[in-house]
This record gives sequence, structure tokens and C-alpha cells, in this order.
Amino acid sequence: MVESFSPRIVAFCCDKSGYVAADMVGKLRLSLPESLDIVRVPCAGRIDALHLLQALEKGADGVLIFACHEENCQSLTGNIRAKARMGYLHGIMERIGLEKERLDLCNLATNNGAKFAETVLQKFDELKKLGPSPVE
Amino acid sequence: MIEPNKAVTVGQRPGVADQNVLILGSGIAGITTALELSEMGISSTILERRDRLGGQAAVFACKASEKCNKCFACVVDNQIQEVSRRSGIRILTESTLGKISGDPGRFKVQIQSGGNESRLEASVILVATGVDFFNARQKPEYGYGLFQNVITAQDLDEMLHAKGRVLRPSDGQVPSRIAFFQCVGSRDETIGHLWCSKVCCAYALRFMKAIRHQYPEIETSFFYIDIQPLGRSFESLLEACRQDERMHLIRSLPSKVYGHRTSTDLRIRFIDPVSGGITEEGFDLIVLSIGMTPREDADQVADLLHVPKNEEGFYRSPPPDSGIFVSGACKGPRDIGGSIIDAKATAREIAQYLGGV
Amino acid sequence: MRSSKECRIAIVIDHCEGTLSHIFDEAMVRYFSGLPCVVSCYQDDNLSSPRRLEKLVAKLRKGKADRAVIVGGSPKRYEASFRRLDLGTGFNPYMFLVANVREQAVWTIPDVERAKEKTKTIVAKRIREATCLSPIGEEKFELSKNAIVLGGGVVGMRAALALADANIQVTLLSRAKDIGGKAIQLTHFYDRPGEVSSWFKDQVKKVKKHPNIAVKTSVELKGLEGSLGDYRVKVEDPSGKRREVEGSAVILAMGNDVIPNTEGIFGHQRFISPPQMEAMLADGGKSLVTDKERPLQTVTFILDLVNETIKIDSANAIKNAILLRENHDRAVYVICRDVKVSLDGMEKQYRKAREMGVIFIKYDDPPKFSLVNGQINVEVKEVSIQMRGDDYSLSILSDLVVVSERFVPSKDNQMLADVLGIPLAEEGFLMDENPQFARVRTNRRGVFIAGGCRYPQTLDESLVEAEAAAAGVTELLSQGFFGYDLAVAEIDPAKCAACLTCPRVCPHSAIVVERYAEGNVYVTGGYEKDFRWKAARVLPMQCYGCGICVSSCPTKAITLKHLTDDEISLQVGV
Repeated sequence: MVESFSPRIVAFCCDKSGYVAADMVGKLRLSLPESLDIVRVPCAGRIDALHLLQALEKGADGVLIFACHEENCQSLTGNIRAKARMGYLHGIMERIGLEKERLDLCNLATNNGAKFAETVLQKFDELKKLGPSPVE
Repeated sequence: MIEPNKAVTVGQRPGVADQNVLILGSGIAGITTALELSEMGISSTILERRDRLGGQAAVFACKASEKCNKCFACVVDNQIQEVSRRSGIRILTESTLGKISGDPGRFKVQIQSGGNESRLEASVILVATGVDFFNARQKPEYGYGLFQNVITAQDLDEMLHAKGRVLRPSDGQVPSRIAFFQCVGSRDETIGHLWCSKVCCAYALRFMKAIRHQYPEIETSFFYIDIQPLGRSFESLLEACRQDERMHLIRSLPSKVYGHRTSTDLRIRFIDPVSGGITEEGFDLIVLSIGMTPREDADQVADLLHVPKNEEGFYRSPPPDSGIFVSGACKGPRDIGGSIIDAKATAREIAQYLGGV
Repeated sequence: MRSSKECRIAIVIDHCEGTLSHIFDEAMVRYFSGLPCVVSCYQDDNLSSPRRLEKLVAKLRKGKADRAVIVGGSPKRYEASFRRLDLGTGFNPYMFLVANVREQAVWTIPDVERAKEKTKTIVAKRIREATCLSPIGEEKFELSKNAIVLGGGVVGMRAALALADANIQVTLLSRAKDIGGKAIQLTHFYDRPGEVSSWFKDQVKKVKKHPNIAVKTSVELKGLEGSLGDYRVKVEDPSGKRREVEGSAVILAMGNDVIPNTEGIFGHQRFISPPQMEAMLADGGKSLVTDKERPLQTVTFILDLVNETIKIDSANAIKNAILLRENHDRAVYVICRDVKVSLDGMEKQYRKAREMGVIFIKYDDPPKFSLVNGQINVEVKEVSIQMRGDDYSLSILSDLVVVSERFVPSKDNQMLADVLGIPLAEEGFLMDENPQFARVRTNRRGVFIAGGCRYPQTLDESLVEAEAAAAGVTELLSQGFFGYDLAVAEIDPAKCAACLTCPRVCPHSAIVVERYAEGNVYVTGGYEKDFRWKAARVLPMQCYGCGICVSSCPTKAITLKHLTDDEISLQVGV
């Protein structure tokens, strides 16, 4: 049933960039997969490694972090911390046999609606090829 | 979740509560002033002739590469969202200024909105009408409007903003060689524009950096007279551009573009500073860095409000007791960041004029 | 988390001016009403208007619900109105949640039926999340109308004047014996007639005479601490006596330092700095002669060896080149990489200079210098001569060569960055150019920067910065108090291990470790006797609610009140 597999993506969105960009996707009337869940966080630095694991554990086939561009974070380092946390988790994922591609980060700005949609759709296709997450 | 902790907006303070500042123009200078005034408890009315807020910079795209390139476009976006949410700021779009009477501190203003006419009282009028971009058709040798693949930097910005991509208008394909022509409409005596638009070098270089990041296979050339620095991040930007092997900075302005309407091989002629000879090169997208000029209706507004102008036709600040203030690029070309701090400074001056602080 | 039985949720459907009406049909409304804990359901056409929201709150108060989920557009649409809700009305703004079905379902999923399904999923999730909500209060504290300006140069002076005119008591601190700074070296403006000195003297007089400004000179900066409303600057006077200056807010305007170029041949007396050039022109050109009273005939300005992306030197060179031609009939060369004309009116000045016979030479490779019979030979390849394909250099025998001083960060920057927790950029200037801070703000509430400590710029540009920074302070202090809601991080002292992670990661310097908790007192070695770390505490007025500390805390002792871990967990689930 690979045909009908629609990967579930959890997108953590920084309120200062990713979330506004996601809103812009709507305003531009671009399409997003229905299986995308948007989680709004005040800053990408709020995202705990635990949250990312939780998402994967609770059935997400992929997790995306949308953070501000480097040197454009209102909290100076939130985006860099998110990136570091992702690196840390990639290590864990490798050890437990989970593909690194299932967790990714995208830096964008409020007015990057098109980039938001493109990133989600690209990840969607990538996860489709990768197949459902092995996490039970 | 509500947006994280922000100072709680408090009501208007007595004394300045009945003061109303009329702001002409909703560009970055206008809306920033409105926001700053509202922080100080002063209400304002923004008059905008278009149907949307934000002025010229509202359609600018983010020009980040692997990191933020400090183009400030995102700030405009934030300010537009903020201004439409804030209390004490009235926004009138598709509206223009009519007759003005009264005295400084008590202006009576006529407003035309669509077919309707209305009146309002303003203690202060702020002119933040911004600039026009140079009409590239006035330089026919570059073929803007004639060749589909000759566009202005603003066209490119709008494209990147809406579609997130850089495409050749003629066939919708990703270009392989892009040329940026600087000083189109600036530093040019043949059209009587003896001023530098200040922002275009940084603007174009950021653009090239963003494009090179998104499309590493694209080759870009930058034709210029003198590179004009802008702000503090410029040094690293310029250095990064000089390091990039596929980004060519050529000290020469092309004299002419040859091609046909849908040509994807536009030939440009210029003096090659290395060989010293006249040479031709082909590009499939040409971007004109058009300069800033005083608004077409700059004289009308100036006459109506008695705003003095400089030799170039940009506004100068009227005397402080006139009740008229000027802010942003209508005083002369400036970037988004520059307009923002100018607006902050103006907001403080207005507050002081109103005696509210 | 409350048990879901205790929650009474109101569903509020916002039709967003009719644009969502096709989604919210009868079946959908039935579905919403049937969700767990939902006790009532309201509909509105446009909730983004504060007036409508107030009416809704009035209705909600009469009903049974204690919290509400708005189903409609983006939360950004409603939040400003939330924040203005009078807390006295009894419905806390933080008891609202928004299900953004317009942007996340209706507009991004073209198929209506599918969009409806997505709407249901989103709302069901928000309902679950709503069970975690708890009210968040607000606080305010008084701010006295006083501020400290560090730096007695023109930027600091302008900032102080702007503040003082707004009835803010200013303490202006200057390291130098007198206020004025480097601008005292300038004699002419490039873009307007009149001498700098009269303008400058006027500024100094205004500052000294202003009743709201207290000037303290000859003081050395020793430290800075505190938070909004309570900043304390430690200074030391020449006798070694230390004292503290207090202010509600601080403007940093210490300017930049300069390093003259005196290495190798540049140490020769025929090489002078731009301020020396200014001084020579200030006395009507009497000093434009050699020590044998022969006129210095050829003056060459060398630009862009340093400060290539700073416009100051170029502007001064063009200004002085014109003066040398106009008043003293000297031969003048300006040798640069690029002529900086991006200043108001500078293109015309550049043109005027060329018309008056100033020769501009642009190089790609830096010029070479040698001493020839007491004169300086400047050897440079002009880019336009390269165009001819020849490989020869121009040789300019100069009597006087003006080389720029390098603009460098002030030595105070490092200390201020350390004590204030504001970033020091790579090159040593204060703050990175992060667009979110609009140039004059810093990441610490109540601290602003302007002028050369941020980046050396032309006089006009720096003065606008000074006024913008003053505007920032005026805004903060104008109300006489600072009100803020408590949507911030909170540390549970019982769980805090005082590991000092949170004060280190906090980007806004909002966390302190002090005597606070009863439990968990850790004695650490290596410090003075009885030195004890107590639990960390968040200063709510400094906190921006970013949550970085929450995710960094190893003992999970920190809660972000407006977005708890529970709320996130519920959102990531299916």
C-alpha cells in the first residue's frame, strides 16, 4: 500500500518566522499536505530534544523545525540551539536505527511562504520514498 | 499560546489623548512612526493611496543565504502586521489628501476615500510619502519593456517574494547567467539625476548572494561604477561576494543591450576593465538596479504643506514650529533600517512637539 | 493539568467575514458541540475587531465556560485584541486558544471535504490542549524618569539632549576631561556652509546648561548592572574614588577608537592623518607649508587601505580636497578603491571636486609608497589606464599624504558586552547587526546603543541613531511605569540544582541566581567561604518568554507559563 502512504509531518514553527511563513502559505493559496501538523513555539530554542522524540514516538514519519535565519533570531541563539539539538538527536536516531532524514531544520523568514510550502512538499516526497516510520 | 511576553499596551495618557497625528504614507517610515507614537500613547491616522500597507518595501523578499544578509525585509513584514493590530492607529487605505486648513497644532484636513469625502482634525502632519523608483524605460538602451528578460531589481524582488524562485520571464526557466546593472537612474547626468541612491549596491549584492545560495549553478555579474557601502554588515557581505568565483564584480557600466523580445541570449556591450577593449557578453536575465527619485507628486504635497525641498527634489525638514514633520526616504534615498531609525527619531520629535512627554 | 472534567470549554466560530462560512455548516457545528468538555458554542462574523471580542467576552462571562477555543483564522488575527482585554472582566486572555483552520486547512487544502476533515482534527487537538490552560496575570512597576548616557561625544550629547527635552533626568558620563569627543577635530561640514565649531559649541552649551542633564567628566567605567528601572553604573574618578550612578535605562554611546597608521614609511612626517589635515585647514592654511616655509604643493589623499566600508574618510577627503583647491590652489589627488558618494549631496560634491581639478584615481591593487628627495612618491595603477592594456603605474610626487586612521572598537566594548550579556560582534563592535533589534535596541530591556560603539558612521547617520535610541528610552519611560504580563518562564526552586545553565543560555539576561529558595542550597568549592548558590530566579520584567531556558534546564525545573511541555506534547500527538 505504498501508493496511499501519506507521511505525517510535525512542523515546529518559530512564532517569529516559521509560523508567519505558514500563514503566508495560506494567503498565497499554495497547497500543503493534510497530514502536516503545525506546532507553534515562541522561539525555535523552546524546542526540547524531548519534544522532537515525542513527535517521532507518537507516530510522526518526519519532523521539521522552522527557525529564523541565523543572525536574525530575536532571542539571538534560539535557532542555533535548535540546530544543535537536531544534531544531538541525529546521533540518537542513528543509534536506534532511524533515518536522519526524518528530522530536518529549515531557516526562513516571515515572508518566505513559498519556501515553507516547498520545504514541506520536498520532505513529504522524501518521506514517501523512505516509507512509514518504523517506530511503533 | 499567546505571543510571548510583551509590554501590556496601556490606554492613552491624558494630555495627549486627544492629539491625532496624520501620517501620509504607510511605507516603513510611516508605519514605524505610528507604532512608536502608539507606544507613547499618541494616536495617529495613516493615509495610504494604495489598497495595501507597507509601501515599496512590502513586496521585498527575504535575501538570506546560509544566514541572514540583513536586508530588513522581514522587519517590514512584522511592522505591517503589528500596525494593523495596534490600538490607537486608524488606517485609511485608498485614500488621498484633499484641502488643508487650520493652524499648526489644529489642522483641518479633507480626505478622499474612494468616492467619499471626509474630514478630520490633526495636531501634526507627518509626511512619509517615500520615493518612486526610477522608470527604467527612460534608459531605452537597456531595453526594459522591450526585452522580456530585462527586468528591474524590484520585479525580481516581487517574483522571489511571491514564488520563492528566480525565473526568466520569457519562458519560466531558471536562468543560467544573470547580470546586474547598477546606477540605472542614479549618478546619471543624462537624465539629470545627480545623486547616488545609496542602497542599490548592497541591495544587488545581497540579491546575488541569495541567488547564488539558492541556485549554486547560476553565474552572476555585477556591473558598477563605485561600490557604495551600506551599514555595518556590508564589509562581510562584500568580502563574501569577492570570494565567490561565480560572482563577477566588473567596474564598468554596459552601454547597450541587444536581443529580441523573448531572447534568452541577450548580448551586452561594455568596456572590459581587464583587457581594456570593448567587449560583448551574453546573459539570459538582466536585472536593472533602478534608483530612487522624488515622488511624481512630490511638488503637489510640498506646495500644499509648505515643505521645503533640496536641489534634487527630496524634502527637507520644515521648521519645528510648523506642525509638519518629514520622515523616511522622501528626505532622500535610504534603506529600510535607515528609515526605521529615522522614523523613531521623528516620532520622538513629534511627541516632544505635542508636549506629551 | 486539570482533569478534563473540570474544564468547561466554549467553542467560538469566527466566519472571518464570511470567508469560512462554507466550512462551518450545521454538521460541523454539531461536531464541535459534541467534543469533550464543550459546553457552549458561539458564532461571529469577524472576531478580529476588539469591539466584537469584548462583546463575546461579555457573553462568555454569562455562560458556563471558563475557557474558549476560537475556530477561525491565524492567532495573529486575535492576539492584539486579547491583550487589550480588561482583566477585570473576568475572562483571562490566556484562557483563549485559537484553532487556525483558515490558514492551515481551508486555504491550503483545495478540496472542501478534506479541508473539513482537517478542520475537525485541528479543533479536536486544540480542545485537548485547552484543558491545560491556566490564567496568567500581569504586573507593573514604577519607573522613575531618569536615564544614563555613557559617552560624552556628539552622539551621547545628542541623546542626552533628546532625553532631557522629554523631561527625563539624564546623567551624562564622559571619560574625557570635557564633553565633545572626536567631533571637535572637525572644522567644516561637507554638505552645508558654516563651521562645525559654532554648531559644536552650541551643542556643548546646551548640554551643560540643560537643567535635566548632569554631566560627569573624567570618569572611568568600572561596571554596569541591574535591570529595567534599576540600572547602576559604577564609575571611578581620577582620585580612585568609586561611586554608583542610577538610571531606569541606559544608552551606550562611547564611540569608537582610532589607531593612526604610523608603521614603516607611514611614520614619516609627510604622512598625516585626516584630523591633522582638518587642523591644517582650520587656520586658514597657514600651516600648509614645510618647515622651511615652502608651500606644500601637492596633497594626496589615500583612501580604502583601511575602513573600506566606512564612508567617513571619503567624505572628509572630498570636502578637504575642494577646500585645498578652492582656497589654497594646491594640486590634489584622491586615490581610492571606490569613491563613496552614498551620502546626501555627495555626488554633486564629487563632481564639483573634479571640475575644480581634483584628480581621482581608482585602484584595485593598493598603491606603493617611497621617499624621493624628501617627497613621497605614490605609485598606483589606475584602473582606467589598465583598460588601455598597458602595464605602467602612475607616479605622484606628493608633499603631503593623508592616510586614514583605522576605526576600531572601543576598549570598553568587551567589558560592557560581558557585564550586560549583549553580544560583541566578531570585529568587536557591540551587538550583531540583527534586523530584529532595529539597530539601536539591544537584547537587554532598557539598554540602547548608538554611534561608534555600534559602528562608525558619518555624523548625520550617528546623530539619527542617537535620537532613535533616545526615542526608545522615552517610549519606555513615558508612561511612568512598566506593565507586562507574566507569560514568562518560571523556575521551581525545589527542582533547581543551581547548575547555572539558565543564566548562561538566557539571551535577555533575565535569570539571576540569588538567595531565594529554602531548599537546595549548594556549597561550591573554590569561592570564598560560605559562598552558596541558591535557586535561579527569572526576572519577569526582563523575560521575553522565548523558552530557551526551559529546554536547556537539565532538571526540568523551568516552566514556560504560556506554552508548557504538556501543551506541546498534546500538539505533537495524533
